[in-house]
Amino acid sequence: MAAPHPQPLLVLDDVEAVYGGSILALRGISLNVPANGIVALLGANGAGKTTVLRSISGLLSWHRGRVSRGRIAYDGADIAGLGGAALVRRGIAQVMEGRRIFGELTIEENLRMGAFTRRDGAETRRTLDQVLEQFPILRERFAQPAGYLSGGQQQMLAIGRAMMARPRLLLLDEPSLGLAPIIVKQIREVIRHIAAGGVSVMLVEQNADMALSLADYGYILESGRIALEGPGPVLKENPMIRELYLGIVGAQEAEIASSGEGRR
Amino acid sequence: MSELIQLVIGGLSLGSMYALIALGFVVVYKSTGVLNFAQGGLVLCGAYFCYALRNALGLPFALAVLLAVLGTALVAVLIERVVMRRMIGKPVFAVIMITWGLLIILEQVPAAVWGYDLLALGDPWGMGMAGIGGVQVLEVDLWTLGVGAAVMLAVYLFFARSRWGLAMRASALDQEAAMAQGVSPGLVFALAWAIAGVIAALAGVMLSGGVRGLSPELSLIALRAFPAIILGGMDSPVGAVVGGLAIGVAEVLTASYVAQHAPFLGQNFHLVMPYLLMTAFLLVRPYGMFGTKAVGRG
Ligand SMILES: Nc1ncnc2c1ncn2[C@@H]1O[C@H](COP(=O)(O)OP(=O)(O)OP(=O)(O)O)[C@@H](O)[C@H]1O
Ligand SMILES: [Mg+2]
Repeated sequence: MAAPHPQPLLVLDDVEAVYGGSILALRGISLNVPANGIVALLGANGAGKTTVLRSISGLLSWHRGRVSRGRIAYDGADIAGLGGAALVRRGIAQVMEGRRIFGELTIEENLRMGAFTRRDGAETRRTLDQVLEQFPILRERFAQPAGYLSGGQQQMLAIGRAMMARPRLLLLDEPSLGLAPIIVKQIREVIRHIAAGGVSVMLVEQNADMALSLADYGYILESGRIALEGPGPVLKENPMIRELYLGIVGAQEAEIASSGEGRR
Repeated sequence: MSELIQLVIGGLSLGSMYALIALGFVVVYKSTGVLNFAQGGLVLCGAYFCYALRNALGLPFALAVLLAVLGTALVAVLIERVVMRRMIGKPVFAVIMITWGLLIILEQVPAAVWGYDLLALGDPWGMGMAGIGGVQVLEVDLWTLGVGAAVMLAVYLFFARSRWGLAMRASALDQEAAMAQGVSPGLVFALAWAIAGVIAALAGVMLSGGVRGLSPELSLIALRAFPAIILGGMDSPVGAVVGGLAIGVAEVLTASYVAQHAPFLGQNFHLVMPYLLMTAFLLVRPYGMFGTKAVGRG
């Protein structure tokens, strides 16, 4: 192909999504995730961020919702109507809002669940080694119930579980939610590391500062529409965003910086 | 002493079948959230399939059992696909009444075809006795115990070790999160009902083999597994097994004791025993021995 730019891994074209047949949550979303890099999706509560991820990962059906218009193409093919298993097998993994680890299962079992669709025993074990190397705490507490982990550790497990599927596209829904600044900083490094390994990341956040400092490109969602988009650094300087999102994050920024200094 | 051992073995044999029926109930409840009162109907279904295959078609007993097990699993999956799938999200009471209706249908079909007479299943055990360490026990009781133990072990290994067993446990904890890992809820539901069908059919065959014989009354036996479920806690497989064994032994010991020492209580007092145990137990521990509090209250 003589395209000037490599084809994006994921393309949403004018996607509309409804819940229960009548609640319109997305009103025509168009966005791209390049084959390499981090894309941030920002927006206030109820803007539709999670719904965007659900329409990509096939979880809308579980909420009695569906994509009612538009096209979702992954790796050049339309993925509308594919089931969860098929999507995971093609390389789309999602870390859900609120972590959603299996608290009564062990850490090992949680990670095995992440590899549920894989049937390549030896390769899966290699992925497991990589995940445990990236998150040593998971190796340490391998046989313990996941519910015993702290919030930050549970988020690491949720990300590790998603990585067990060996995804090409990782959907992250508010990974910094409810975590201390120092942990948020760790998670930022984890995401950077994953992206550097060649995985495309779609990062949903309310922590605009964290997301825009990572993202190559960002979209701002408002009531189911894209209100603004642009390269991460440009959005970060945008006066509207500075006022709406970064104004409240300013204090946190200082906190992250200071706790960072205290680290050995 | 040897009489007591005899009675306990008989009680454990009966109890292991209560345990299986309860186990099937717990698997469906944990996986799909449905309180499946039709479990006893599946027990009947398995036993009558076996009877028909053995006597009408003249198949060897082992083959008849195998086909009856597969057939019952199929019936269970069909019930899930055709009926229960439509009831997702409907009020709990409506779902319970549907399973109750299914139970009555599953009872009436064999009654209409074969009537209420006691039939001989066509099993190889008959009245045969076996001696172990000087104690005479019914051969069918030993087989029943063996089948019960084997099924329990298989169910345990499936849930503890296998990929789908793990997926079913994960799905029971958080269905959407399991779906995000690529586990189809529809397959989990179907698998849960299939397992319940397999277990029920084996219990049905064993409960109507040997001296016991087969009649639609079998579903009443299955109903006495309910106290086992309540005793063990509705969401606990271990509880189902322990509760089932306890109730089986209590029932058999009561029958013998009443006949010898308290005939004024009547011939069928032992049949009330499981319910008495259940009621007494509920007063002390409303969520069962191994159950989760939230479930007991829910
Ligand atoms: N399961 C559901 N059923 C019906 N409506 C829903 C459902 N989930 C979300 N919605 C609605 O869709 C809209 C978008 O919600 P969504 O969860 O996608 O927002 P969000 O941007 O992720 O918000 P938050 O930051 O709070 O997570 C909201 O109006 C919400 O009420
Ligand atoms: Mg959300």
